[in-house]
Amino acid sequence: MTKVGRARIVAILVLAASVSWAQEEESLDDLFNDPVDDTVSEATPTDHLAQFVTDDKIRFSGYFNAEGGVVAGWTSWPVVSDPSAGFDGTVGLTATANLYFDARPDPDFRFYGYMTTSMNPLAGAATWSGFSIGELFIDYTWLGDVFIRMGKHDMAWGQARLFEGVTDIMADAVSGFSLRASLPTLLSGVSVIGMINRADVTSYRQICYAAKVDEVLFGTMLSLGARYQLDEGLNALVSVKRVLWSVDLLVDTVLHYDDEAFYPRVLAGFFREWPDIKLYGEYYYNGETEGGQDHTAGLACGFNNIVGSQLDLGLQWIHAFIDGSGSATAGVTWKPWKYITATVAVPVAYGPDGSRYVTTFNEDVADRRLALVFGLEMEVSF
Amino acid sequence: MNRYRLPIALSIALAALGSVQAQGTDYSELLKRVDATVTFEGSDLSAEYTIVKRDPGGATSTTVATMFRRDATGQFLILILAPAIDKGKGYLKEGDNLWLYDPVDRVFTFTSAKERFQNSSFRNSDFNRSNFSKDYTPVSGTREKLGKFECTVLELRATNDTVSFPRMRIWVTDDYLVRKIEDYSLSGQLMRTSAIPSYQKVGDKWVAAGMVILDHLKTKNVGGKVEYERTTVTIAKPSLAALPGSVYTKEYLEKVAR
Repeated sequence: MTKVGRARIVAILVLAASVSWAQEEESLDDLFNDPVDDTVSEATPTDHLAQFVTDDKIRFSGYFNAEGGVVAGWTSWPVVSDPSAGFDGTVGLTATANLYFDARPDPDFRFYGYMTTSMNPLAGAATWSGFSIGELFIDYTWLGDVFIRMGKHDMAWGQARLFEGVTDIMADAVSGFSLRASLPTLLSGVSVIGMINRADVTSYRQICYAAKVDEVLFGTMLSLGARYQLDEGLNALVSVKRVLWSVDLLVDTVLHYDDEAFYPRVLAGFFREWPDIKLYGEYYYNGETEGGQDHTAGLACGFNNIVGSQLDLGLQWIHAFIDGSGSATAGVTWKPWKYITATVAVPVAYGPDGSRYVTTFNEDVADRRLALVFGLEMEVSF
Repeated sequence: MNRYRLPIALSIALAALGSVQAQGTDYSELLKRVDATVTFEGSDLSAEYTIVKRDPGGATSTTVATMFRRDATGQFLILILAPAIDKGKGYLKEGDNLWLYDPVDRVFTFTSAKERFQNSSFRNSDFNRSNFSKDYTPVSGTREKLGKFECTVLELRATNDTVSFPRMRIWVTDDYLVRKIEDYSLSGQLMRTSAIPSYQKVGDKWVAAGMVILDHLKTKNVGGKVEYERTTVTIAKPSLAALPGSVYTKEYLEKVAR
């Protein structure tokens, strides 16, 4: 073959490769061939804030949830010689309905609440419980800079995901009556709280007082909180969080002090999220337990759309070092129809009989060690 | 002929040297002009964002959010309006710090501002004011035609590690508007391509009217063609209405979230 011939072949191959490459790659450059002309925006400014702070009528919304399922498994480890030993099955059905209302007649005033009712026909009469108040509070902005929330309302302190609530020293707020005043422009937020969380409060000395200060220093979030009530004693919270290489690193420390005891509770953890994967791990030390050896660790991972399917996979493992018990759960969920989520899970509880995750913290109503769970959930917000 | 070679060579060399020096200066200045053209130092900016994410292969999801931004203090607040499951979620940025608010659990989460917004190719940091001139230094520049636009193409290197991407190429038209951005990793891998074909003028500044973003890390071969995750962002109703300072606080986010 002549040089000219070889050159032609090389040129054709290069051209073919470049054409092939151009066909494979999605490009945005075509958008610039005939784009919409740049425009001048309308002179009248839109008040985007108004849609959030005022409303000329009360907004009602609702939430309905119904869950049903079957759990079958063994309350003791299955044995080949007698597979029916310790085998047990349970059917469950619960339903919850919430009705919310939200009034915002003025940018400085809001009235919000919700009523809730539930039904558990397999554990009692097939009737709805009476409506109870879930939350009921007002928001009032005083002098433009002080936010006041007063009434029955929830608040969350602490950062735990896996061991939820263990360092949240205000976890019971929703069952009391609280007055919270916040100064959001001081540091990264300062809040003081007075809460009535018991019956027959006749003196200011019986009120529960709390305060919290948030500040971000050198990219690290620091949160200091304290709660005091005469009969409960003092609980002080120090929360630290920093994001390093896209990993959330967090530590909560709660120090409890009263006339009879002084002990710490410590939670440390990490959280990392990718587009279709969430991974988090936590360690929890509870100094309240006698002996000071109560260490627990957990790891959880969630995968969305596994192998390109509509299935989501969740894995969770928790281990209590104090008695060698633990639980491991693998579950798959998918949404076959609108509002419906189906779940298949296999929870395993290991450790000595009567131990923490075999009995005390076993979420199975029959304390099964090995089970197969199938559940259907309908959840609708409207 | 020879007697002309030295002066010609000298003049070319001097011109080239002068050009490099001039370009070095001009490109830094150009970045400042780019920032100034889209930065609202003297007022708040609010707008409605519609973000449509199309996964490689076709499934789409839409997020609608309202954004409030104060460039003078580096703050923004974002409230999600749709989809219903995320309604009431909010983002608050103060400096380099970002708080996420979940109204269901009443929990604020402190996190990195670089993460993807609502799992799309649009990043939380994309809501920030433009800060090319401080976050990047230009290392080279060329002229290039991009569709109907004559552009200066700048290759940029990050000056700090707080930015989402350490290397970038940007296409800037002569009116100082960025029309196209290619984001690269430190090793030079193309991570994301963004196109901003049209802008809208608000007051004496400019806001993108729409953006299209391709995420080169999320791909799928569809019928022999490589498709990327494609995110289309539409920015509507831009407004310079003044906002109270208390808007950019966690308590405000908690108060207005539905």
